[in-house]
Amino acid sequence: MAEREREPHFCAINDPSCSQGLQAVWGCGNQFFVFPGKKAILLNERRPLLMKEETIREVKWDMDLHRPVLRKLVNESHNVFTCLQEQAKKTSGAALHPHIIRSSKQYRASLKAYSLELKILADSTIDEEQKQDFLDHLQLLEMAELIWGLCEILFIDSPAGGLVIAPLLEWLRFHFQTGEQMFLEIIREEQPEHHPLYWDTIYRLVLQGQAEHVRRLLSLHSSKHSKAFSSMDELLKKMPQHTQLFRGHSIAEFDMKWRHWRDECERRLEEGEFSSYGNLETIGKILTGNDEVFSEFRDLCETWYHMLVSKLLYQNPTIKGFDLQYHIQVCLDEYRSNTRIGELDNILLSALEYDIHQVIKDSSAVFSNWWFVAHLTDLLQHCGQLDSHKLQFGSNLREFLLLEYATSLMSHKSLWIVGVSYLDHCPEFGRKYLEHFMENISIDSEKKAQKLLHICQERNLAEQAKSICKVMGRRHMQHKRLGAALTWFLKSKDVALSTVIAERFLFEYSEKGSFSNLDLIDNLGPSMLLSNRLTFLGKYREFHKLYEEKEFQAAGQLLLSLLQAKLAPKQFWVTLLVDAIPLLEAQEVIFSSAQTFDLMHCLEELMREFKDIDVREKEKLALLRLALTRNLSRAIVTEGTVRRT
Amino acid sequence: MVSVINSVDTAHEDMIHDAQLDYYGTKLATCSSDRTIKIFDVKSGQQTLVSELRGHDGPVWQLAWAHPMFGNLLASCGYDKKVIVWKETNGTWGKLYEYPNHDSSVNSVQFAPHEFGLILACGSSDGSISIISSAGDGAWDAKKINNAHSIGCNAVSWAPSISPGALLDQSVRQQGVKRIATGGCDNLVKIWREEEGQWKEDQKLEGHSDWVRDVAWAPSIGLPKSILASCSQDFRVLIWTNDGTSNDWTSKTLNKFNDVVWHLSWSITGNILAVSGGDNKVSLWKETLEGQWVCISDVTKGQGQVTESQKGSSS
Repeated sequence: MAEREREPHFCAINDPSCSQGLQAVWGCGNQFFVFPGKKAILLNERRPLLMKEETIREVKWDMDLHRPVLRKLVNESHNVFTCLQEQAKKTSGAALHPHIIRSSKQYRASLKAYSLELKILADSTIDEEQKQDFLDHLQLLEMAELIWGLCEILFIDSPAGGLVIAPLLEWLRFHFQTGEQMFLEIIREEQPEHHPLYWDTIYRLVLQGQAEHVRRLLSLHSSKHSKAFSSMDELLKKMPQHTQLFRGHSIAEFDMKWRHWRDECERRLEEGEFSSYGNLETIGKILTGNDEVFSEFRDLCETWYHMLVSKLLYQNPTIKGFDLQYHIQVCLDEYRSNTRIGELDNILLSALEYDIHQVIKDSSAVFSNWWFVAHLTDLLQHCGQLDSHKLQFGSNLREFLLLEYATSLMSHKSLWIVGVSYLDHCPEFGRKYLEHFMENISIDSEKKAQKLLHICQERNLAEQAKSICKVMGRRHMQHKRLGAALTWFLKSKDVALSTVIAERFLFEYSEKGSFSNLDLIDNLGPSMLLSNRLTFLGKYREFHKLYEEKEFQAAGQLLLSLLQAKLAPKQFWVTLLVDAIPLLEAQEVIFSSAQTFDLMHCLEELMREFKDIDVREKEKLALLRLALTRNLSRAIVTEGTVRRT
Repeated sequence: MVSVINSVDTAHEDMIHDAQLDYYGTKLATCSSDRTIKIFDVKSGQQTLVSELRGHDGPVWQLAWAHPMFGNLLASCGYDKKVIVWKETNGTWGKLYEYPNHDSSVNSVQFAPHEFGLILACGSSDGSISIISSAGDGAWDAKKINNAHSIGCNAVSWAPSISPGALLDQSVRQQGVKRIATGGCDNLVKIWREEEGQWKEDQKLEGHSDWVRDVAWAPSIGLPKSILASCSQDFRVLIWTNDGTSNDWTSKTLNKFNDVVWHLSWSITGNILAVSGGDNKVSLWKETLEGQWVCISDVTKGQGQVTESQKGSSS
């Protein structure tokens, strides 16, 4: 992936035939074919040894999104994405903000739903390798949720006054659930205090600021009526809650309250109110923010960021987001000996340092697909959090990542359509990308062709629309489905190929004496004006209809006008003239003397130009000549009669 | 994460020189020193041999698919100095046209962007380039650029049909200007343009110190600049850019590899370049927002970290 500062991914192929060179050819999206061998061997080059095994391999990457279970996440988040883009068109600034926050929560909900689904899948999988794969993926998802949650607090849903402890606590509770789970388990015990993890659970809950839960557990202790227990219960009950901040209390007020409360905690601790119960004393130390006790609870905090929040809750409950970074180091040091700083830690660190760019950069590298960074970055862009980075890049980070995400969907057999929608929201390169993809998405059915055409037409991609129609028309033509072919050529207003088809129809008629695809020809409407040949086809068919309906006069006039306007191809004149015979032989006179002369003129012209007319046709034309002469005499007589009256 | 998801056993009896996927990625054509061309259906993970084309009297070097709007057409060129255009009619492939007018091995062939019609260009070891076009009525017309590259032309690549500049300024619309980039044994990359029906040398790009093996014009993504990649026997890949307003081309070394670089291939949208060659690796390169070219992935032969699980399971 881009922006990677680490080693690129490697994929090795164990095949000796690949030792003579490798080449690759692109497919659609993140896919190519790798094959052994090299290009043309030039004249004075040594020919390589003959290699037998010649296997071509299809290689794909960023395949995560192609997992069947992921389809739901892709579709759900797509809905969230498009809704937000629509909102962003209508509103901006403060009015848009609630929508951004809602979107962020929806994304997280989709992520959560997906990870639950994956968990169920992992649990039910027997194949070890597959299971491990699911578990690895699940781990990444949990990481994504964690990072997203923190980013939401710091960059998207920034709390009033910049006070972050309350949302951070919620974030902790969401991701560190051992305390809560144990709580539920222990309260069901007959003698909760004898549960081996009774006190550990209480500490965990205290570290997450769950005063009510702690009180509940303490009330289940057999010594609950002792002075020490009552005293602790009182303290916990009095603990100022951050929720008060949202109920109109000012920060200063809250701060003062907290100070008072802590003073009281300290006083009671110093006066030895808990001295007979070591555990209660420990709780007291946490409440007063004692550094040593936090070090002691390294394991219960599990991670540096849990410790950071727990510690700040009791030491600095009104800390602002921007100041968090000054307290990180101490917590990190507590865990230093344990493990190396991992990728997740680095990303969280960058977030806490408000280095958004670094968060995105590192996340691009860690996650095996672009889902995470593309959507998060889109939100951040809408929040205005990325404005300051604009100059640094010269181009838009949001679009860069959305393009990647869309591209990774393009090689999927059905999700490509989601990719198209993302490209719509990339103002700079989206359209060009789409043009390229449209030319390369396989048109494997009539339905898909319609779908692709619709996409092109909606977006005014005229060239691509034309190309799709051409491809489809050609295909039908090859299979001799002339009607279907013409339909496609008409769609793209393709003059040349419509003409070719019209000619084939006419040829077919002169061969068989009947038309196929009558429906289509009858309903050509104004589209017959696309080419002369098509107009002729339409008109000629109209002639047949008139004739069938016994509108001989109209039919005769139309036939003549077709010949006179030179719309008909010369090769077809024989057919047209022969068609005139029954009209000439009709009871009433249809062609006037002048018109008969015109017909005779056409016949003469035809005879002159086509010397080698075959015998059968010559016979027909002789018949025509006879009919014409007969009609002429009839016409003259009729005309004479008419004039006299 | 890059992974091998399928393999196709081509059963070619000698080295494969080229493989080309059709526009829709559903058919894969391969050509080999065994003189044959094979066409495989590779739709949705299935690989079936559809056809085997015989007609060349020597190794077949390169293949090119025409846009499907012209039907199913495939062009091939080879050591036998010939360019052959093949056509599929109702499932059967046959020769549509044969172009015999080169005096030496024809190394490279490529169809022009479909907007120009059915046109193809080829480059030969005789140093010349041919531009062959069909009006669609079965007649073919050829124009030849003689002495395009001394000692031989190794690669041809068409520029996208819409010159990027056209997007910026409608008044200088350059749509319709046909341009070709070629590379040869004179270590040069050259750009040719058609003016009033005549092909003229437009640019001579000097940058490589050994034979140029491949040139690849990047698809336009609407930016005013043109991007061209070239690779050479000098182990280097150069990226040439033109800002679309002047005639100046500047080059940047993408990377110096450990062996000869044979083959370049841009992704459909031109955002990733695949480079491959004698070091038995295919590496993917991408330009970051900062304008740096970075390697993002590697497919390599050997005992690596990720082994191919499907080995031998070709169907």
